[in-house]
Amino acid sequence: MRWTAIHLLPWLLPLLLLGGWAGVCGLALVPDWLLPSPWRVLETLTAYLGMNTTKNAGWSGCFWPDAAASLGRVACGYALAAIPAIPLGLLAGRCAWAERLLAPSLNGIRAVPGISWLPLVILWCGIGFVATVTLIALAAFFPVYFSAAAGAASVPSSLTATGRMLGLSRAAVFRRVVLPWAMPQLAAGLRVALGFSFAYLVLGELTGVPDGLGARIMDARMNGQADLLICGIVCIACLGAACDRVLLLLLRRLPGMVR
Amino acid sequence: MSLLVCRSLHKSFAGQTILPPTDLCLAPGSLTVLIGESGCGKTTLLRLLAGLLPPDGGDILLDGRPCAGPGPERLLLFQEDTLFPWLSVAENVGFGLRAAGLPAAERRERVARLLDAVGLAEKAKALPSALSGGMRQRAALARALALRPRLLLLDEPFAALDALTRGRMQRLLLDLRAQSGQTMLLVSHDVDEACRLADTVHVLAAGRGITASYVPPLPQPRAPEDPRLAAARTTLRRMLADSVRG
Repeated sequence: MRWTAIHLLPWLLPLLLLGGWAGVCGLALVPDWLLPSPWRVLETLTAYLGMNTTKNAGWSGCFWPDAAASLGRVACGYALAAIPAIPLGLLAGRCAWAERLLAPSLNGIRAVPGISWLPLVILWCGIGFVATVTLIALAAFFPVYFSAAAGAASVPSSLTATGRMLGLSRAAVFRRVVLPWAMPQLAAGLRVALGFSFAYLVLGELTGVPDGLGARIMDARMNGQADLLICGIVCIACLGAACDRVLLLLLRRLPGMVR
Repeated sequence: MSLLVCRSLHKSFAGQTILPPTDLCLAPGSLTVLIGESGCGKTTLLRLLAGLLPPDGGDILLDGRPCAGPGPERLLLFQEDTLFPWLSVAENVGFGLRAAGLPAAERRERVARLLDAVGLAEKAKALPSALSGGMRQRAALARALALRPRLLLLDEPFAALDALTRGRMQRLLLDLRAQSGQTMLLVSHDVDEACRLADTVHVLAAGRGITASYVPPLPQPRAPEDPRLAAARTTLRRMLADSVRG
């Protein structure tokens, strides 16, 4: 693929979408209160980011505390999911008894839609930080667990046998053969889980927490501010993409990722 | 004295005898080939000798001492690719040496020497994905030889290679053996390969173990066009057919 195609192709769809949006607003096909123009959203975005001092609203410059609150919830929920899911998944992938013990229950729980947990989580944890973090952890656990299990189970027996013959103990085979082999699959699961975390972050924050990007979106809806609502969505998308990029950079440094 | 002695080694799976009680002796520095139809227990015997399968009964003595479980003194080279895909060729070759705790300088020196011997010095930093099938098998061979095993077990290591590469690998194996005096036990179902490489060929039959042995009556190196090699092939084919018929 040519250099221009490689670098321009990712921008093509967003630009087309933006062009269509500007066209619809320019031709006044949809009322402004329902779909504000891209320029008005851009103006609101700069104000929300604190870069536009001419527009003074209650939410001006609030992006940073909102983003910090949301990222804090994502980080806690994601860690709460990944820390048990990785070892449990790897164990289930390598030990038949662990797989038989865990798989039926986890497959059942996985089948429950995330939204179904919301009333129970609110009942148990109330509205706020703990409920949001619990929802994120519930959503992020399964992709990590199943990818770790599938990765660990897919190690060819000839590879582990070679490790043993080359003088590795069983523990060292796990660390130096199984883990690097499973790493690309595990990394894919970790990335999917991060995406889920952002999705459930918004769900959790929509329930009435005082800060965060989801809460800002909910406020905007209540006040009929479609421009701020779209800003919130754009910010979550950008933040999610940035976090995925950082995670990918970190994961690429782990053994087994480059092959 | 034999390097390896097996006495009454046997193995069954799900009540079906895969390897009946089998005796085998390997002299130090010898290259022995096990030949037989598919499912006759060749690979099972190799895995038992490598310690990757527990035998149902019988003894395996290496240098007169019983041995069990896998270890670097009996290395098995598989038919499939077993290079670690996330490690470079040099790291793969030095993998066992690192596990054995060899100092880095000595490890580097031994890896470089082996890569040179198998013709992969220029590919030391390449990942296995950048190598051809033949190159990968050469790297795996170098990795096995790096630990200087007492016995090298080869399970149809060249079966997946094209005829030209297979011929080159066979020559390489003979060269390495001539240089190091490495004892080798190779499983094959290729009569040509057996006659070309082996000091001794053992014929295995399904459910009956080793039914015949044959020593090709010509010295190494054996030129493919040597008429004595053609005669040896004919003899071995006949033995193989007799063995299958029972």
